[in-house]
Amino acid sequence: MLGFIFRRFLWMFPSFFAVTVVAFVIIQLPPGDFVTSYAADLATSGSPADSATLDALRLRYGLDQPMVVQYFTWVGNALKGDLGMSFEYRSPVSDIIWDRLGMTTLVAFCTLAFVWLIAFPVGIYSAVRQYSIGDYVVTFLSFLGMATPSFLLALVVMYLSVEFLGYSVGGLFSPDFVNAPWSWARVVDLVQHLWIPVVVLGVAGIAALVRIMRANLLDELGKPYVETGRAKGLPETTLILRYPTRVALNPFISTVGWVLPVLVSGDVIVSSVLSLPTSGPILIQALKTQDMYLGGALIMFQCILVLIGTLMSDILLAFVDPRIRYDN
Amino acid sequence: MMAHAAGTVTDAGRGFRTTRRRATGLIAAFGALCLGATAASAVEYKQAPMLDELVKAGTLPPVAERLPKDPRVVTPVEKVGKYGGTWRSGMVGGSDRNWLFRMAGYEPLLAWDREWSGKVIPNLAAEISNSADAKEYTIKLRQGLKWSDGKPFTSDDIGFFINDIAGNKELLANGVDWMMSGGELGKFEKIDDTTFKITFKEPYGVFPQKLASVYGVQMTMMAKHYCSQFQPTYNKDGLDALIKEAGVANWTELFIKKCAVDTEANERWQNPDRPTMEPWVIKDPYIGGATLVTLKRNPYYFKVDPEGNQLPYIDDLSVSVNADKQTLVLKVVNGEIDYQDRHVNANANRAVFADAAEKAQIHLSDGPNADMNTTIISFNLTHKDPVKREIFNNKDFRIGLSYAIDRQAIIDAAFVGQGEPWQAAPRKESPYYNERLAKQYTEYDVAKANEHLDKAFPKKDSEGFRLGPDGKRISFNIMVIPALGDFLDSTQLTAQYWQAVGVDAKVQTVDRTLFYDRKDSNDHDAAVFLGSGGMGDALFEPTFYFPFWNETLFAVPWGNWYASGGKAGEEPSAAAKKQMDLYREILRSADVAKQNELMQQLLNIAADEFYAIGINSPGPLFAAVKNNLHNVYPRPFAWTYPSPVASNTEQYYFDPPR
Repeated sequence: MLGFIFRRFLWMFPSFFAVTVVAFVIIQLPPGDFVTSYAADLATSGSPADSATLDALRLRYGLDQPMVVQYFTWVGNALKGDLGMSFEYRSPVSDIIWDRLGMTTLVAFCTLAFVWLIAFPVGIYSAVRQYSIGDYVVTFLSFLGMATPSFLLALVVMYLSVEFLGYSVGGLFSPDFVNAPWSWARVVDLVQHLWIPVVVLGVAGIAALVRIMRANLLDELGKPYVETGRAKGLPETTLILRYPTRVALNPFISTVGWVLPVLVSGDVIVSSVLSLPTSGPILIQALKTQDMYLGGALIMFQCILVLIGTLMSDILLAFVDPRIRYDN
Repeated sequence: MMAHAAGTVTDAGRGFRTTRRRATGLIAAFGALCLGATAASAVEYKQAPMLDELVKAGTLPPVAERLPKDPRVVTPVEKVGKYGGTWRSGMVGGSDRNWLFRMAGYEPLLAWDREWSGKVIPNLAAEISNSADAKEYTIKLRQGLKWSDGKPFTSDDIGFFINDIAGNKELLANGVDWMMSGGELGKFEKIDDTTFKITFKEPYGVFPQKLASVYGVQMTMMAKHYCSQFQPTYNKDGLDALIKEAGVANWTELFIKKCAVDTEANERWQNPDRPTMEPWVIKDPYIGGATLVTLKRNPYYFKVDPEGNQLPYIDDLSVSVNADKQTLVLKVVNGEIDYQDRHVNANANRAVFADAAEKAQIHLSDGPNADMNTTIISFNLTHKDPVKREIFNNKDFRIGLSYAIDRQAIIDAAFVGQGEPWQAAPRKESPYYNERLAKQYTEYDVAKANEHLDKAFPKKDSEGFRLGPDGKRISFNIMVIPALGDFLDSTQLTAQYWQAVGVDAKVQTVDRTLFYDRKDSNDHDAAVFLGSGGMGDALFEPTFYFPFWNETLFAVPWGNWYASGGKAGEEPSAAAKKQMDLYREILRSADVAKQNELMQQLLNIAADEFYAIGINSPGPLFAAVKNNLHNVYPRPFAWTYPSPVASNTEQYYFDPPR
C-alpha cells in the first residue's frame, strides 16, 4: 500500500511538468501578446499608444524573447516562489491570487457541504421509495436543476435579491465591509451574501448527485446481502445506511479528485456574473488580455489541485473498497 | 488658447476674486506691511466640517494657510454646493484605471474650459505667455500651491519632471512625445520658485493645448520631494534597500511602481503615499485583489467656489471593481451608483434606466459624443497584394461603394435612429467642420454607385460580380472586432449593400488581438473602427484625416512612416506627404486662426483623397446621475477632454445628503 502511494506520488512530478507546459502553450496560442491586447484596449478607450511605446513595453516585459526562453524564465521563477508580474494589474501575481484563492476555497467548500448535505438524504430517499410520488417530484426537480444553466440562475437570483431583499449587487460583501478588517459584523455580512453563490453553484451539483446516488443505491438494494440483513431482523434505517449506502458511495470517492478543480474553475462564469472576489473572474480577464503570468499561475494552481485530488481519491479508494487491489 | 501669435493667458477672475483684489488694493494703499497675511485674512475661506475638527485638534493648519494666495475660483454649474457625501461609482476589470482618471485625475497646468470651446484656462499655472516665434514659454504658477501632504508645489517639481523623468533615457527610452519639438525635449529654466521658462528647439504653437490635454497631466503628477527618493541621482545609497523592499528588479520599475509616470498608468492609483494635486487622494488602492477602491478629500486642494468654500464638496469616492458590465448596469438600476457613464451608457441601456428611474432615483444626462463616426471602413491602400492595392486605390471604386450604402436604413436598424449619414470628418460642433468632407458621397444612390463602379471595373462574371484587373472576382474581407463598439451590425449591413452592386465583400469577425496583429503587419484587406477626433480633438487625433500613425487603418505603413520621421514604414503618396507638411506647420503655429486655416487645407486634401468610408455620426451619449447629485454639466464625451472630470467634478455635491 505504501509503495503504491509512493509511486503515485512520484508520478505527480512529470505530470506537473507536462501541465505547466500545456498551461503556458495555451496562453501563448492566441495571436499577438499582452501588448497587442493592451494597445487594442487603449485604442478603444480613445487613447491609442504609438508603436515605439508598445515596443518599449514588450522589451520591459521580455515579450521579445523566444517562447522557450519565456517558459523557462517563468517556471524557474515559479519554483523559487516568484510567480512573475501581472501585466494588467502591474503588480506581482502572488499579491493578486492568494486573497482570491482563499475566497475561492471558502465558496467551494461551502458549496460542497451544501451539495452533499442535501444530495445524500434526498438521493437515498429517492432510491428507497422508488416510483413513489416523492421520487417523481425529486426526479423532476433534479432534471430541472441539471438543465438550468448556472449563469442564468445567477442572474435570476441576483435580480430577485436586488428586487425583493434589497441587497447590493454582486460581490461577497456590502460596500461598507469590502475593505473593512475582519470583525463579527463582517462575518455576518459575508454569510448574508455567501448563500447566493452557494445556492447557484450547488443546484446543478445537487441535481446530478441525487441521480447518481439513486442509481447506485438501487443497484445495491436488490442484492442478497441486503436481503440477508433484513432477514436477520436489522432495523430498515440501520440496514440501508450501514451497508448498501456505503457501497454506493464508491463513485463519489473516485470522483473527489475532480470535485476540487471543478469547484475552483466551474464557478468562473457564475462568479463573473456575480462579481465574486474569487479567482474565476480574474482568470477570464487574464486569458482575454493575455496576461500570461497571471493566467498561467491560475491554470497551474488548478492543475495542481487536479493532481492532488486524483491522488487523494486513489488513496481513499484503495482504503475504502476492498475489491480494489493495487498490490500484486 | 492663444489669441495672438504672442500672447498671455491669465485667470479670468470671478466675483470673489475681484473682492479680494479690491481689499488688498485698499490695504496696500495704507501701506500694509505684510501682503500675504492680509490677503488671506481679507477673505473668509471655509472648509468641509470634517476638516474643521482636524484644524481644531491641531493636526491640520487653518484653511487660509493651506490654500494658495490666489486659489482657482470655480464657478459651480448650478449653484454653490454643500459639503459631504460619498460618490459611488464602478469599474470593470483590473485595468480600468482611466475611469478613476476621468473621475478625479485631471489637474494640469492649463485646463480646457468647461464648454470645450477650444480655449485653455489657467489651472495650476496662473499665467502663461509665449514669445512671438512660439519657441519660448514663460509660466507662472499660483503662489503657495501645496501637495496633498502639505509640502509646497514649485517650479522645481516641473523641473524634476522635465529633466529627471522626461529627459531620463533609462526611465523613458523614447522621451515624452508631447514635450518635444523638432525631435528635442523642451528645455527647462527656473526663474524663481513659481516662475519658469520652457524653450523648444522649433516653434511649438500648440503647446498650451498639449498642456491641457490628458497627457499634460503628466507634468504635475510627480512631487520632487517624494519621488526623487526613487532615483539614483538623488538617492544613491538608500535606493537598493527600497528596491529590495518593493520586490522589483531595478530602480526604473521601483520609480514607476511608486510614482507612476504615464497619465494612464495603473500605478497612479496604487500608492496611497504619493502626494497629488488632485481633489481626492487614494485611500484603498486599485491593486490586484481589490474589489473596492476608495479616495478621500485632499485638504490642500487649491480650488474654491465664488463664496470662498474650499473644494471639493464631496468627501469621498467609492468605486467598486466589477467583473462584468451587466453587474454595473444592475447597480445603477438598484440605486447604488451616484454618477456613471463609462460602461453603462450604451444606447441599449436607455430604456432599462428609464424604467428604473423612479425606483433608483436617477435621471439621464445627455452630452454630445465627441466621436465623429460609429463605423469607419478603411480599405488598405497600402495592400501587399498589388492587385488588391490597385483595386482599393481606385477612387471611383470607393466612391461607388459609398453611394451604394443606405446609411439612413443602417442608422434606423443598428443605431436606434441616432446620428446622421457622415463620412470620416469632424462633427458640426467642431471648429474644424468641413462640410464637403463630411457629406460627400453619402446619399443612397444605386445608379450613381454603379456608374462609378462601371468606370472602375465594368466587367462582371456569370453571377454578376465585378472582375478586377487580374480578371478575377473582386472579393475581400472586412475585419471587425465584435467585442468592441456597435459596428458589427452596421458593417454586416454595409457588406450586403456592396454585394448588391456586384462587389463580393465579406465580414470577418476577429478577436481584437488578432485584429491588431494583422493591421500592424499590414495584412488586412479592409478594417473597421470607430472614429475619434470629432470635435476640438480633431487637431490631436487626426487618425482618419491623414496617415498619422499605426492606428490609421487605411495606410498603416504610411502612418508609421510619418510617426517615425521617415525611418520606418513606407513612403506615402504625394497628397499624404503634403498633409504631413501641413500638420507639422499646424503644430508650429501659435496662431489659432492660422491653425484652423491649415487644418482646413489638410481636411480638403482628405476630401479629395477620400481615404475611408464612414457610416454615421453618433448620437448623444448619456450618464446615469442620481437625482440628489447636482452641478453635473452635460459635458462632451471625449478622451482629449477627459469627461466628466474636465467639467469640474470637484464641484459636484449632494442635496439632500445621502
